[in-house]
Amino acid sequence: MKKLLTLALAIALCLSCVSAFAAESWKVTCPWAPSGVAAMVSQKAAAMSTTYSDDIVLVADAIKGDAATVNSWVTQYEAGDPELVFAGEGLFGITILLDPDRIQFTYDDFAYVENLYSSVFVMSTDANLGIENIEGLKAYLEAGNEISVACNGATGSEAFLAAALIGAMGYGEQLTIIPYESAGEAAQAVARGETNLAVSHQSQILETYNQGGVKVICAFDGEPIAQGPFAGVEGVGQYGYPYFRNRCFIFAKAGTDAAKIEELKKLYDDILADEEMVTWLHDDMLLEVDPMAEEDVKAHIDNVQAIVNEYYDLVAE
Amino acid sequence: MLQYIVPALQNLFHVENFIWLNLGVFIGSVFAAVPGLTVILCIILFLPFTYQMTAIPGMMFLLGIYCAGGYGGSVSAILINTPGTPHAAATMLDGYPMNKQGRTKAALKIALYASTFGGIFSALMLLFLAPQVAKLAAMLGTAEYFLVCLFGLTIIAGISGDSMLKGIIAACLGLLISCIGSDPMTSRARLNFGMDRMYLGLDLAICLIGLFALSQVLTKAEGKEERMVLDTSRIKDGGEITKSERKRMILPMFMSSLIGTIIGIIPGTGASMASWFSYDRVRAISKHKEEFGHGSVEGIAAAESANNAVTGATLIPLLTLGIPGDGCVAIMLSALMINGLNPGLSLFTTQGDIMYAIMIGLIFVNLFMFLQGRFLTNLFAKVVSVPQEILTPIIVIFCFAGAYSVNKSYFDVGVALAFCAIAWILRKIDFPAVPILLGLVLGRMTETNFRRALQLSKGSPSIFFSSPFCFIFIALTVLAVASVLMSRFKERRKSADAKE
Amino acid sequence: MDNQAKRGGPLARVDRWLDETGAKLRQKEMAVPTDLLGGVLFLIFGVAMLFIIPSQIEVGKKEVVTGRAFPNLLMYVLIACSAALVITQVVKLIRHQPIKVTKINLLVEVRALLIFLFMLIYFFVCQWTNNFAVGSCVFALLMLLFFRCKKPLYYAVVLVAAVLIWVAFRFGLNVNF
Repeated sequence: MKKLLTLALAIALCLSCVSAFAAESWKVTCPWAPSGVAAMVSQKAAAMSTTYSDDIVLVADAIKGDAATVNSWVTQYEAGDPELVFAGEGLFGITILLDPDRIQFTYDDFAYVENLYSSVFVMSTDANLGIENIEGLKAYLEAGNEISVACNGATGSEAFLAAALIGAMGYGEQLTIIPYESAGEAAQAVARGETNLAVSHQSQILETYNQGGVKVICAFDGEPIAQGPFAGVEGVGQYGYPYFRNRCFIFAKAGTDAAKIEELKKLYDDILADEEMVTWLHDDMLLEVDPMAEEDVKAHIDNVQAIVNEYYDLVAE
Repeated sequence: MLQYIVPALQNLFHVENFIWLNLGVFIGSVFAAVPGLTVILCIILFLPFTYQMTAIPGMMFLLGIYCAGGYGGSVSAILINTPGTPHAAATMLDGYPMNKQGRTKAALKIALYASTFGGIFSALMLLFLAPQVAKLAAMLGTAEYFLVCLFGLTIIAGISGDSMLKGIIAACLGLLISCIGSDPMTSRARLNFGMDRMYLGLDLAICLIGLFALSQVLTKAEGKEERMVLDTSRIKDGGEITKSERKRMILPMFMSSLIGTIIGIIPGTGASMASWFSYDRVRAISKHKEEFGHGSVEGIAAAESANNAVTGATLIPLLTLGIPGDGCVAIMLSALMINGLNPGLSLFTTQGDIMYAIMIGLIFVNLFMFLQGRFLTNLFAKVVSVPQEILTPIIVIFCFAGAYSVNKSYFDVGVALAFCAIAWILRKIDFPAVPILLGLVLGRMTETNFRRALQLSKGSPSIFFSSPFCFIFIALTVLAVASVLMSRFKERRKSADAKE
Repeated sequence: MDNQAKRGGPLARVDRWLDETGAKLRQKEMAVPTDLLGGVLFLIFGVAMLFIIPSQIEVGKKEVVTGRAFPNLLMYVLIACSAALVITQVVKLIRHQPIKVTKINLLVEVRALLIFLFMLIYFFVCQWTNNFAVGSCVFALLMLLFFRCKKPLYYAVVLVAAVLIWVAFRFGLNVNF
C-alpha cells in the first residue's frame, strides 16, 4: 500500500514538472457556448497553432457567460499573462449600451490581437408567405401586415439587425421580435410558419433552406452574397438600410508586450491563411476570413453602437 | 439507406474506432458516477482530444462518453443516494433503498440492463426512422412545448411523498429558482440581487450537487451510516435478479424507452425530464405501486431506460435538422462541423457512409457499455464498503471540483453550498427536495414557451388549442390530474374505512 | 477504555471531553411541529418575495406577459399551499388532534453544522490560497478529525486522494484552480 501511495505522489510530482517546462501555452477564452461558431473557429485555430509556431501553443477554452466571463477574465489576469479572450460587437456595441451595469471593463482594458472571421447574417422567410426579396418585404409591410421575426436571443445582433431593417423601412411599429433559445429553434420556427421571418448566420439556416421550408430574402451586408449556397442574395446596404457583420475579436490584456502581441497576431494570420482553414471557413461554416486593423475594429463597434442607439426602442422597450 | 450500410460498416470496423469508443465509454461511466462531474462537463473537457481525429472515431469517443454517462449517473444514485448526473435523480428513489436492502449489485445490474435496452432502442429508432421522426418533431411548436411542460408538472403529485401540498410548495421553490438569471424573453436580469454572476442563472448540475450530494454528507452527522472498518459483508447479494423481476422489468423498459425517445427528439427537453416522465407513468400503471420509493425493480428500470433512450433520440434532430437537442449533443455538433460535416438530411446522401457508420456505431457503443458495465458493476459495488471516513471527504472534494469546473468559478461552489443548506433545512421541516429538482428542470422551459406562445398570439390563449398535438397534450394532462385525484380519493376512503 | 485513556494523556482527555459533551447534547431533544413550522416559513417567504419581485425584475412596455408574471404566479400558489398547510395544522391543534411532529436532536444538529462549517472553511481556504489542493487537504484533515479517526493509513489515503484529484483536474483536464 505504502509503495502504491509513494508511486502515486511521484506521478503527481512528475506531471507538475512536465507541465512547468512545456512550451508557452496561451489560453483563448471564448465567453460563449462551446458549440457556438466562435468557439468552433477558436478550437480549429488552436488545433492548427502547433503547425505554425514552436513557441506558442493556443489552447481553446469556452466558458459560456458572455459579459460575466469577460468581467472575471479582466479582473483575474494581468498584462503579460498568457491569456487571450474573445469579445465582439455584442459586448462592446450592445450590452455596454443596454445593460452597462453588467460590464465591468472598457475597451482600454484590452490589447487587440486579431479578428478571425466575419459572418454575414441573412434574413429568411416562411416559404408560404410569398416574400421573395427586400422589395417584397417592403410591399408586405406597406400593406399594413404585422410581422414577427424569430431571433436567437432577445437583444442580440440578430434582433437589432431585424429592427434596423424594418425600422429604417419605417414600419417599426409593426415588428415583434420573438426570441428563441438557439438559432436552430428560430430557423424551425420560421419554417413551420410560427413566425414570419428569422435572422441567423448563413450556416444556421442552411439545412432548413435545403429542406424547402424557408426562402432567404436578404443579407445584412453592403453587397450581394458573393459565393456559397446563398450567392446572389441582395445586401440591405444596396438599398441604403443599416447593417453590420458579426465579428469576433481576440484580445490580450492591455499592457502586454507589443512584440508578443505582434507574434500572436502573426500566428493567427498564418493560421487564417492556411488553405485548410480558409476552405473550412468558407465551405463548411459559410464565414469569411477577415483580419482587421484596430481602427476598423473601432469603426465596427461605433457602427453597431449607432444602430443600437437608433433602434433601441424596437428591441429593448 | 441499404446502399450505405456496407460502406458504413467498412468505415466503422476499424480497431481505432473501437478503442476510442471503449475509452469514451469508460471515461463516461466513471465521470458520471462521480457526483459533481456531469456528462456535459466530461464532453467539454475531452472535446479537444477529438480535434486531431476524423469524424467517426471522434464521434465514437464522444458518443461513448454520452451514452455511458447516461448509465454512470445511476451508480452513485444507487450507492450513495446521490445522483451522479441530474437525469439519475429518479433512479435514486428506488436504487438507494434497494442498495440499503443489501441488493447493491442487483440494483446496479438492473440499471445497466435498462440503460442498455433504452440506448439500443433509441439507436435503432435513429437508424431506421430518423428522417420521419424528425419531420414529426419539427411540427411541434411553442404552444405544444408549453403543454408538454405542463404535463410534466403533473409529476409533482407522484414525487411529493405523503403531502401533495408540501410537494407543490417545494416545486414552486424550484420553479422560482429557475427564474434567476436573464429573462429569456427580454434578456433583462431577474432576481440577481446585485450579483453579476447570477445573470447566467443557476446551473442544474451545481444545484444538484448542493441539494443531494453535499446535503447527503451532512447526514453523516446523524451517525447512522458510520462504520470504522472496511466492511465487504454489506454487499449481501451476488447480483441475482429473479425471473419474476426480469419479467416485471420488460414493460417498464419498453414504455420508458418509447417515452425517452419521444422526449429526446423534442429539443431542449433532455434526459432528466424523460426519466421523471417515465418513472411517473410506470408507477401509474404498476401493479406494485407500494414498492415505488422502497426499492422497486420497475422504478429503476423505468428511470434508467428512459434516460438512455434519450441519447439516440437527441441525435435525430441533430443529424437530420442540425438542431442539437441538449448541451452534450450541441458540442457533438461542433465536433462534426470541425470535421466538415454540416448535419442535415442532405448529409444522409452526400456523406451517407459516415452518417450510417455513426448511427450503427451507436448500437455498438451501447453493447460495449453493457460489457464494461458488467465488469465495472463489481468494482463500483465495492464503494459501499469503503469506510465513511475515507469516502466522505473524497465525495466532497469531487463535488467541489465538479462545481468549480462547470464555469470555472468559485461562485458556483458557493451556490452548491447554499443549496446544501436549503436541502438541510427542508429535511428538518420534512419537505421533499426532489420536487425542487423537477421545478429546476422544467421551470425555464415552461415559462419561456408560455410567454413566447402568448407573444406570438398577441395575448390570445387560443394558441394553446391551435393544433391536434395541443389537444393530445391537454388530454394527457387532464388524465394525469384526474388519475392523481382519483388515487388520493381512494387512499382517503381506504384510510377512513380502516379507522371505522 | 484503552491504555492511553487510562494514562490520561491529552488526546484521551480531548476524547473524554468530546464523549461527555456529546452525551449531554444527545439528551437534549426538541419536538418541532414540522408541517406548521414549514408552512409558516414558506408563507413568510412567499409574501416577502411578492414584495421583493418588483424591485428585482424590471418590465418593459411591450411585453404581453411580463417577466414578473411567472414568479408572481408561483408565489401565489406557494402562499396558498402554505396557508392551507398552516390552517390544517391549526385546525388539528384546535380539535386536539395530533399534528406532525419531528424530534430534533441537538447533537445531530451541532454535528451537521460542524460539517457545514468545514465545507465553508474549505470554500474560503480555496479562494484565499487560490489553490484547490490546499483547501482539499485542510478539509480532508478536518473531516478525519470529525470522524475521530485514529488510523494513520486513512489520513495518508485521503490526503493523497485529495492531491491526486487536484492533479487530475489541473493537469489532466486543464482546470486551473
